[in-house]
Amino acid sequence: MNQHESYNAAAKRYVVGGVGSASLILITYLAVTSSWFEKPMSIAFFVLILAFLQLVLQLVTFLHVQAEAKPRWKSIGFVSSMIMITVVVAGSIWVMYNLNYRMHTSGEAMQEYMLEQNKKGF
Amino acid sequence: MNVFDFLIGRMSPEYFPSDPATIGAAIGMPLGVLGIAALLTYFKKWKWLWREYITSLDAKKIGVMYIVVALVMLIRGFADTLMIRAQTAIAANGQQGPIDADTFQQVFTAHGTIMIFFVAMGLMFGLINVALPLLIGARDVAFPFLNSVSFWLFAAGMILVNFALIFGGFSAGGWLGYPPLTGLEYSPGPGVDYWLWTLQIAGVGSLLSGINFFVTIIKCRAPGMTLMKMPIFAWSVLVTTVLIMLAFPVLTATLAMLSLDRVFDMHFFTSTGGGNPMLYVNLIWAWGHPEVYILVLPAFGIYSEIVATFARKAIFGYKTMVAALIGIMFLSFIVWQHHFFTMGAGANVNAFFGIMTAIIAIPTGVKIFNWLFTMYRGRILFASPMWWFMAFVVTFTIGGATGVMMSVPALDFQVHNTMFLVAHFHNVIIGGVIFGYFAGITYWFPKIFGFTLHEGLGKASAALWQIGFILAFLPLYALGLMGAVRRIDSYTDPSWQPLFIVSAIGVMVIGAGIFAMVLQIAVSIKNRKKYVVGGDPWNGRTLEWSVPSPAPHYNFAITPIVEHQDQWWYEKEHRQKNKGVLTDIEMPKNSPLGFYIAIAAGLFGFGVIWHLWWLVGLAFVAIIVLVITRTMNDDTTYVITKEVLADEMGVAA
Amino acid sequence: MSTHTTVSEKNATAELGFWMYLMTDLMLFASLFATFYILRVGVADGPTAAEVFDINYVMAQTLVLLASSVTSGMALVSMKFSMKKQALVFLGATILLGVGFLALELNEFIALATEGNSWTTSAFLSSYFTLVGTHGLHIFIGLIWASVLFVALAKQPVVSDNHVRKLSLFTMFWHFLDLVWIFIFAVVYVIGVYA
Repeated sequence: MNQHESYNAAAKRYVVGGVGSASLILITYLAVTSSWFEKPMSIAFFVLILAFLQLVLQLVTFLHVQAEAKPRWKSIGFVSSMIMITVVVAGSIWVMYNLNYRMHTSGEAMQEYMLEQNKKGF
Repeated sequence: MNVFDFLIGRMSPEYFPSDPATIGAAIGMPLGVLGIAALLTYFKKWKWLWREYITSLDAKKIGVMYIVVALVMLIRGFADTLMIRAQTAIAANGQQGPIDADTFQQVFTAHGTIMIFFVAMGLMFGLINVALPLLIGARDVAFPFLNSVSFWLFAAGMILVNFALIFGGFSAGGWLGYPPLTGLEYSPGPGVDYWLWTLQIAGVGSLLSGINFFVTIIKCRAPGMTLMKMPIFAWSVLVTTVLIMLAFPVLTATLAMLSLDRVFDMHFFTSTGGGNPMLYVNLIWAWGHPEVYILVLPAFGIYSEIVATFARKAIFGYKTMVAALIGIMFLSFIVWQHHFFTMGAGANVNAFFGIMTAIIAIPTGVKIFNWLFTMYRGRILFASPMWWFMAFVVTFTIGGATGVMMSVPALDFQVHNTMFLVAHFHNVIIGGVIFGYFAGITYWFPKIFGFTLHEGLGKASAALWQIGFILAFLPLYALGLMGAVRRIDSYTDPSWQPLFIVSAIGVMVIGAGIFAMVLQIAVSIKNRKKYVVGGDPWNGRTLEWSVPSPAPHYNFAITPIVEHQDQWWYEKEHRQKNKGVLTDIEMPKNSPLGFYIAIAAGLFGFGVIWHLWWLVGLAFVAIIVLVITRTMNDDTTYVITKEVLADEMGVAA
Repeated sequence: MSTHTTVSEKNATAELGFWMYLMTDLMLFASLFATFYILRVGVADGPTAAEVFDINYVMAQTLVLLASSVTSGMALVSMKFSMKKQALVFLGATILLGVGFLALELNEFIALATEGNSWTTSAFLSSYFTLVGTHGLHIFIGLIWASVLFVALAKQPVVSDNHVRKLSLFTMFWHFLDLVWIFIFAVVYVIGVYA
């Protein structure tokens, strides 16, 4: 937190952050309970975007990351971590999706899969 | 359940060892420990040990403890090696070997676990503790108390893995413990739990060290030392800490999930209940691949320091060395799937990860060329650290080349999980990691203890390791191509036996190399008065050589002001005195709490292993109480005045 | 460490170290999230998400935790401006709201388990209980931490630098836990049920 920040400015930050976050949560709630979207993909995207917005809002208002003096190690650390996390999570989901699709555990499903791959020329 | 059952959990006399080898170890080890305790009592050194080492928050002392534990575990891991190679040399074509199948599984599991987690990681953290603060002009690491906690957690893990030998038996599931074999159904006993908690406890220690060293480099460098003026070793540690911080949590989570499967009957990795064992393989290697780079990068950093020092030349291509390190850091997170090309993810996934794996060879190659270019036209002194470096160049390059071969999925399908793979990873770990840390020990030993190690025995050790390595592992490449798979305790093809015998002979040559090291240390200590040296025995380039040997506990009486890369070399060349000013300094007081926290953590693990839930609860509370005790203590440092410092330096204040 | 290390330098070092620890915790949760996402289809003979989660109940939990995050921040602001009594009020509110959150969560866990939908039923439920349970465990540790800080602050006549530093680390931790909960709410309870 910035030494030069006044009490009022600091308190305002938390109020804005709190109210903003609550609003985003409520919008999410309404979106799904009132079925604003039909396709699961759309719902997922909308909810995730709102979650990321809330993340940024709280990073700025609660955790006050932009007030860090240069060099901004916390921000660099956070961004780098998020990049690596995305790589590992997305990579794992991609790898597991492929493994699950091809390595059916039941004998019958495996037979069908192998016949299908055979037709494709593998 | 009655009180008695609740108190003893699942402990029972059936878990004492029953085969002769294990019984021997189970008796020998405690006897060894008692022997040491007896010596300490006889020489009245308990108080000294407590004050100087156990409760010390000095990174140099902590580093020495790490290295001592690692070298002791090297002997234990090597004992496993001897058993493995004795078995494979004999058990051909129906002949019975000295070890039975169940024991064999435990032996190779213990071998891998100990060598990676206690020898390699131990040497690494030990050398970083010893050298990093000195190289960046700092007095200690950023969080000295946390440093102590990290070491003692490491030691607690070490105690657990050895205790398994006495009571319970160790895991038989390989060093990475894939389920379903290591799940509740197929390994209901305590062995896998020992393995899980050893790794979990030591892993937390490693994670905390990663954070500690990262902040140390960012925040504790001497004034004027910008990142681009740091020694390359510091860069290699910085990159390593990023890898540690991002990879170890994945290990923590994955081991926790396997433990939950085993203790609470959950279904993460079970074959039934919707679980997915392949997920374990994916997650554990998402940690496992960065782990091998964690092991090798500080060793690369050590080579950079050693080559520059002994070639009497600045490291060639400082900027590309840094770039290569950062490149390796990013790339090491996107190659992990190459460890299971054959599990069936299909061509697209394999192709992506195969290409990424091949690419990571490039920055590594850049580093090797830069070391060679540093040597070119230098005035090279082939002291024993350079012998280790030369052994590394030859050995690691072969291993790296076979790695690039296996990055091609089609080729990997032929050699995956054969002796070819075993040869490859020993090739790069021994050549890269082990030779590097042995070089580092030789290089920095005089700085810590004030006398050098016997040169002749050091060179003999390096030569024996190199020859031993060739004999022990090159035949394994051939065996892999001939169809020999890993982890087998017997085989039917008689043409394999000569190669396994050559490998066994190689292992004995390595054993001679280890013996030479032990002898080297013993001889050097005995004759230490003859080998006494001053602060700069190697005519070094970096800041650690500007302080006396042994280094005082505060490292630098005057914090140096840094204006150039290789600041110490610059000062010597230009006959300049450092512009630093003498001031009072603040040092951390000793603390026993790191030691106590680790005991509690070890008891926690022991409790989970044996289902002693009362112990688990007590240990958990103890950890919290100990941590709170530490945080409530605001009197954790003491001041050394500049008058005292001036006195110690022998100058006016 | 010379005696010239200023308070702000000490704070900066402690904060950076704690922040990096939070980054490692983030990776830990990410691994559990990835596992949850991959195993969510593993329902075996057990229920699906839609059959066991109630969004209204979770909304209450979410808002309670959000409120405690705001009060924790206000506690820190009060501390920095040496308003000791106000800081204690906000810190106390944080603890109470946190206990409320945990109580709601434990209630839900117990209800699920006694209905026969426990962590042994399926991979989906194992990963649910572990992900949300790990978050809950962090909250529990945080509450112990906050209580210790509360007692220590109450006993002191004035606010000290050490105390401000410790509370600032706590609030970083507490905000971080609220951030993780945002994603648990989004991924587990909303997307898991409706998408």
